[in-house]
Formats: sequence, structure tokens, C-alpha cells
Amino acid sequence: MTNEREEIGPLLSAYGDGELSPVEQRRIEALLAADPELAQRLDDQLALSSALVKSLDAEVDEIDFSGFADEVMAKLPPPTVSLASRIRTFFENAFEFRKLQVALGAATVAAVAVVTVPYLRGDVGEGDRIAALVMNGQGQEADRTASAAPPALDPSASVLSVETAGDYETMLFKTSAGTTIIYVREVQ
Amino acid sequence: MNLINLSCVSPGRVEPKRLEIDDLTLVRRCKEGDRPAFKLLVQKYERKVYAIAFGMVKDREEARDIAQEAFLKVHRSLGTFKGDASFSTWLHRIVRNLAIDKIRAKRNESLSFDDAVGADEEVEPGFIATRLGTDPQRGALRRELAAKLNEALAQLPLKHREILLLREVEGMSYEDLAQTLDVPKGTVMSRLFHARSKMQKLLEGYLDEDPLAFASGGDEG
Repeated sequence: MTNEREEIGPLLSAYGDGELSPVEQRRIEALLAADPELAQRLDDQLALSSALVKSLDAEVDEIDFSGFADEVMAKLPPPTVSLASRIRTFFENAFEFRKLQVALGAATVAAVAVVTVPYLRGDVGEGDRIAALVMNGQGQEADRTASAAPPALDPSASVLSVETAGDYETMLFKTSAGTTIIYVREVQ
Repeated sequence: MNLINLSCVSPGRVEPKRLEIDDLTLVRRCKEGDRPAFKLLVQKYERKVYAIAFGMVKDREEARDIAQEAFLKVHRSLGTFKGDASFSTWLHRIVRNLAIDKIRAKRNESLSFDDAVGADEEVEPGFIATRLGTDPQRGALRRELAAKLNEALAQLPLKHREILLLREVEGMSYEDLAQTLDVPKGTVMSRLFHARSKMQKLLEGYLDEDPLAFASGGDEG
């Protein structure tokens, strides 16, 4: 009987874990049905498993994990970027820069057209209000005008941007000397 | 598919799912340098990793250190993870190894346990179940009973402690246990049986101390 129990012990343990083959499972179930003491041993195992999990669960519940992941993340080495990734990023940036150049070029053409065509055609009427804010190379205000007539356009100025918001058209120019000129023109 | 279920240690207790990304997807994203994905893995497993570490070393600070080191080691070794075993099996193997290193470093492992507690002595059948209760609906264990269980666990030989923890806390299959511990499946079966028998024997001694203290078997709450 003792030998049989010694043999059954590991099988009973595995039965409680659901790790037996169907044949072994049926064998243990038959034994359990016939031997109440064996059934009690299985109860002991299940009770122990449950209690062990609960006791560790209670322990873990007392630990504050709110900053744990951040602590781990803070100890990670700085991200390293692979050479392939750096090459890819370089070309992507270069492509973006090329697109920006194309966009600026288009904006320049549009701005020049907006500014020069009315001049050439004498379309600037009396009702047009033009303000110019001239910034020096350090970004400080150098001059400010508000008049019905536009200020003389520096021939070296290049258009950085042209925007229209509501009734106003804003043009941003930059001269070769580094001076920034902002024109605000009321459009009709 | 192995979906993330951010449940806590107890298999009986279920917390709401916060995300539905499987481990392998997260690991792949981590390998691509996605740090938030790694943080998700940490948050998913921090409780279980800590529980296993604590079960092994029985010291909160050390368990926390081990848990942290385990995740850092995981991050360092992600490139070697091929996905042959599940991520959780791999992770818990790392935790187990770190805990063993820590225990060995302290050199406080009780090597003479088998002499002190007869492995073959059997506890009176039903004793443990009667004292601890088998009703899964019952609430949390009393604090002192939890302490006794942890104390008993700490007295088990390392090989029994680790297999019990990996089985009960992580819920590892015998197959995963065999892989993690690098032993045949038959050894897993017999080692678990002996671990449980010793644990029951130890608890019998504890529960005999003050029968009234544990009579409720954890009805509190």
C-alpha cells in the first residue's frame, strides 16, 4: 500500500496540475472515487497551491509598482541608431529638404507675382493699406511704416513666405544683408 | 495567439485587460528600438517577476533589485531571443537565475533541509485543506498565515522552492518547467510532488501552533 501510494503521489500531484495523459487521468479518477483519503490528499494539494498564490499575491499587493517601469526605463542605455537607419534618415531628410526648396521656390515666384504685377500694372489703388515692418539682422525692429503706398522693394530681397489670412496678405522677405521685411497688405 | 492579459499574480483574480498586443509583437517592436513597447512588457510582468523573485529570496529590496535587473537583462539580451520558448518562460528563467545567483552570493541556502524535515513523512490527509480551506471564493489570507506560508517556502531547498513558484505563480506547464530548469519532464513531476509534500509538512508544524488563529482559513475580507 505504501509503495502504491509512493507511486501514486507524483501522479496525484500532476493530476491536480492537469498534466496527466487521458489514460493516467482515468486511472487517478478511479482511485480517487474509491479512496476518500486520496481525495483528501488532493484537496490538500489544491489548498496549498491556492494559499501559496494568495500569500504571494498579498505580498505583491503591498508593493507600490507605480514608478517601477519608469525606474527600469531610466536605467536603459540610450537608444542607439543603426547605420542603416541613419542612412535612411539622412536620405529622408535630404528629400524633405529638397521638397522644402521646391516649395520655397514656388512661394517666391508667387510672391514676386503678387508684389510686382500690381506695381507694373498700376493696380495698387488708393484704398490699399500697406504696412512694412523692417527687422535688422539681429531680429530687432529697425523701421515700421504704414501708408497707402508700398515701400520700395529691396531688389536683393528674397521671399520667404506669402500667407493670406482673411483680408490681409502677409509677405516675408529677407535681404542679402540679413534684414527681414514683413509686408502686410490689405487685399480687397 | 498569446494575448496580453494584464492579470495579477493570482490566477483566480482577473484585472481588466488594458491592451491586446501579444508578447512577440512587443518583443519585435522592442528589437526595433521601440522603448514604449518595452515599458509595456515591464508593466505587464512586473508583478509576477517580483513575486517569483520575492518567493526565492524572501527580501523585498532584493526582490525589487532582482526584478529590475531581470528587465534590464531582458533588454540587453532581446537580440538573442528567438521565440523558441514563450517570452514569459524566457523572462522567468532569467529571474530564476538572478535569484539563484543572489542566494548563492549570500550563501545562506539551507543545504541540510532534507535531514531536518523528512521528505517521505506524510501529513495527515485533509489537514492542510481543513486549515487553509479549499473554497476558492474565500478572500485574502490572513497576514500571519501568509507570513507562515512565506516562511515555509523559504525553508524549502532551492530546487523545490523554484519549481513550486514557477508552477504556482507563473503557472508554467511541465513542458516549460522542464525547459526552464533543464530537467526531464518526469523529474518535474517528482520534484513538484516532493516540494509539495515538504511544504505540507512544514505547514503542519506551523498550523499546529495556534489552531484558532487559522481556523477561518482566510475568511477575512
